[in-house]
Amino acid sequence: MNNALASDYIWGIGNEGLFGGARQADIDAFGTVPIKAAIRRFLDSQIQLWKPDRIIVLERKGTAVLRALMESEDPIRWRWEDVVSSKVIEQLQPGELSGKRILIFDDMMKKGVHLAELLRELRKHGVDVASPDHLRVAVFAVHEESSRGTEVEGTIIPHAWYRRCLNTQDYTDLRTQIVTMLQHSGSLMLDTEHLEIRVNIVGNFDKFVKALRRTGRATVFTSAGSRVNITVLYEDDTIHLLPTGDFPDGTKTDNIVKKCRVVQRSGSEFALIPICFPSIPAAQVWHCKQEVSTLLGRSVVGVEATDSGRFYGVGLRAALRVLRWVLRDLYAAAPHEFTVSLPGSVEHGRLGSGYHLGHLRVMYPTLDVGYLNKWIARIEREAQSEGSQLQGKRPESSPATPLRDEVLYQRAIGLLQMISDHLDRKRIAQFWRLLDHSTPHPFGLTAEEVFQIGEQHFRGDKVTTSTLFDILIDQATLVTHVQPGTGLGRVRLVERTFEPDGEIVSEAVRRYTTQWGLPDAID
Amino acid sequence: MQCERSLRALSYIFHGWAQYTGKRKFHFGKPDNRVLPIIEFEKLALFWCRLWQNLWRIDGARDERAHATRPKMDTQKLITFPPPFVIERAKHGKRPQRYDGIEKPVTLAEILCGLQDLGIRYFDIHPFVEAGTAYPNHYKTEVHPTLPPERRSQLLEGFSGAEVKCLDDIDNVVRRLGTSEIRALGTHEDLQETMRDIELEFDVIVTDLVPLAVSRIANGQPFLDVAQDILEYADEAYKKSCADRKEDYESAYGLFLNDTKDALVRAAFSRSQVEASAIFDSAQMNAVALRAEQARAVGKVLAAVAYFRDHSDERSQPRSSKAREMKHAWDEGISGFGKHNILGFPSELDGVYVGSSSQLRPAIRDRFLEVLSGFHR
Repeated sequence: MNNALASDYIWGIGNEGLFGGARQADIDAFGTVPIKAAIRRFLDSQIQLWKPDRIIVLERKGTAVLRALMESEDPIRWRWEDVVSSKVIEQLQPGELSGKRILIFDDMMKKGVHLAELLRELRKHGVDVASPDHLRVAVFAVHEESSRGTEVEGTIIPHAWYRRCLNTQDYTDLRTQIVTMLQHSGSLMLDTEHLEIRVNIVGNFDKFVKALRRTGRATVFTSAGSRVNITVLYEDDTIHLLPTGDFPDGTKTDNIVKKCRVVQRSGSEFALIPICFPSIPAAQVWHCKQEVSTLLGRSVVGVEATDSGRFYGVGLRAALRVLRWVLRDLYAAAPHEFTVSLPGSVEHGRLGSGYHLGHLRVMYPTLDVGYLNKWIARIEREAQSEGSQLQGKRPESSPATPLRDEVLYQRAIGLLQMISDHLDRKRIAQFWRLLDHSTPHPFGLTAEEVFQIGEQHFRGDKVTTSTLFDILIDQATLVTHVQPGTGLGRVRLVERTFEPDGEIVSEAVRRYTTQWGLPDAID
Repeated sequence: MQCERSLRALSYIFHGWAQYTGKRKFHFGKPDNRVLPIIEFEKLALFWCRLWQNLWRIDGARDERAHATRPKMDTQKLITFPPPFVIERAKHGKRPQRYDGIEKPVTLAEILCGLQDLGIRYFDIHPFVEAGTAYPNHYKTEVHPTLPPERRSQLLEGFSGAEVKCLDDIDNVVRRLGTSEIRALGTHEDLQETMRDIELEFDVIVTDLVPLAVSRIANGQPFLDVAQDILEYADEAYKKSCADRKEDYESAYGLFLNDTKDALVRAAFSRSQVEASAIFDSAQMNAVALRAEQARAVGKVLAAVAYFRDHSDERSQPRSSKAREMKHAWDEGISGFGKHNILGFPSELDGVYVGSSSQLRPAIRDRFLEVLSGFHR
């Protein structure tokens, strides 16, 4: 067997490979190769073998895995410009993918529902999904339920795999390994939808945290990867109102998440990740300012922009506001405790100097990254100037939330149980109303609903509930969606919703709740 | 194990009730033949689940949550399992169910029938059968005892001392409850939940049924099916809000509170149920009861008009039992209209239609549309 053939057969091909039907045909025994190295080896070989023009990653873990691999010490050599998120296919121009060699990558697959959705979407975009010359699917680990390929409208699409025919126990174990790898690599926040800037804490950490609490409410906790995390939440007070002129008419900017996550990347280096997703009216063109249009491009502000594209674009715009708040607080209250490192150009980042935000192109295909860098630099400059004028002035720091990690993690499980229970009850009610049990997807709770659960059940303030969100997202037990909701009155809003991540997690939570009951309400 | 134990505990309580030979409250129209119709049986299960959930919350062996190890305490003195059912609303009110997120929710009645088919008989279920198909959820399904009295105690094998004590205390009271009392205790727990149950009945009427009825009437189409649905939901809302329930609930509540000896059971009961006056005597409930009564009257008149629209030959002389039932519904509905000052309808059915045709008189049709559009949550 020559080398080319050998490499062909290292990785099985769906239902017709050399090892078809085998329980496991891997070249390494289970668990002998570290998971990150194994995934790297798998993906690298797929790229070498297939030589794709584009990689499409399945959100969200698939993207986080790719980013962990691209930002590791021994990175996968690939350009972010040639990566597309599964969430943005509908935003691409017709024909943008047809004729290209596409590699779809996901870390794990159980039933293949998301993959099937993606393949259907690609077919709509003129991609011949059944053609082995144009499309290859590579899934690192495949559950036995879909090890024979994924059926799309009557055609079985085979996939390359590293492990397959996994039973539920092995699949769950492997999932845990991947999540742990991600937590050690920098948490699930290694996604491609949030902007981030890096700061170095050169002074006192406590003063730094106190500065974050100047107008925000902050909770510090340690993630499973032993990284320090800070969740800073901004309330709907007068200082943190989002200007309605920034967004499409009818955008809902209250009772949403407005926060900044501060995640330790390495040593004293932290990433500031502002997060804000206002709920926007569905099917409504965004007549925005020229600068926003230049920043986000036609996939967000054009007439052909989709609800999902607009939603994320509005989110990025809102995040820039949050970035201003966090930097202003830091410069006002702890200007000597940190230094800011601004993102550089993609080319410089690739050469190893500093970091860049090129990965955002995966979620925002028409984003002008250079323009974003300039915008961030302007915010930083202005925040520094505003901060210096505010030094020594009120408002006072908000009190620290006195909850230990152990309590936070315990409550996070409780919150997940409550979310899962609420959703199950909604589904059951829907069944009895319509006598139909096909659950729509996505099907989650809005941030407002989750905050209500936190307040009613845990007597928790919003920042604690928001921290619990972050813990659950880092554990990959909670997943976010963009969901068309009912909204108030007759306006249909596109909202961010949250639900337990997939069947494995949902089932584990259900079993846990059945066995141990729902958590006690805190008096 | 948890599900198996719950079913055994429930079987123990049910057999205690079924094998009791003393007197208990008589339920009009339903002889006390030691058999529970499925609806009352599920109400018993609901009541037990609520009570057991609270026993578990108060004194459950729950330290595993924090430490992920086996409980170190003496579990003989504790409740060792919570009930395994999701207590959620079904078509009318709550039912114990299991749900896996993939298939449809499965009711307790379906679970027990399924187990019976596998030869596992905690109860002797007699499902309603039609055309060779069993319908466990049908209201004519019955639950019979399956064990002789001397073997009943075997059901509690492996239970902790505390669990046995609690179950004996619950059994001592439940066995003396009549079926109507069991139903009242299972259906109602507090004002908020009862109000929510009633709201949901109205919700279906207003959101789904009224628009359909309006469109059918306006277009001169048959509307018997939707009228009967409106009557069904209005009737449920009426029953839940009706003060007639108060008496059953009050006697059951009093018996439980007076005759339970175990402090733990009493504490759990106080958490599970509130006293009758807190549910039935509130201004909120009185207002909703009035609305439900009106809706029921509308449902009755609407159903009768829809029926005799399609059966004009029976208008003056109802021959079938269904026609007599509908004539009775008309009389009751019209009397309800008078009571609630809903005017503009004739006192006799003949005044509703154009001659012997199936067409409604325009004035009556418009008045119906007006009354229906006045429905609100």
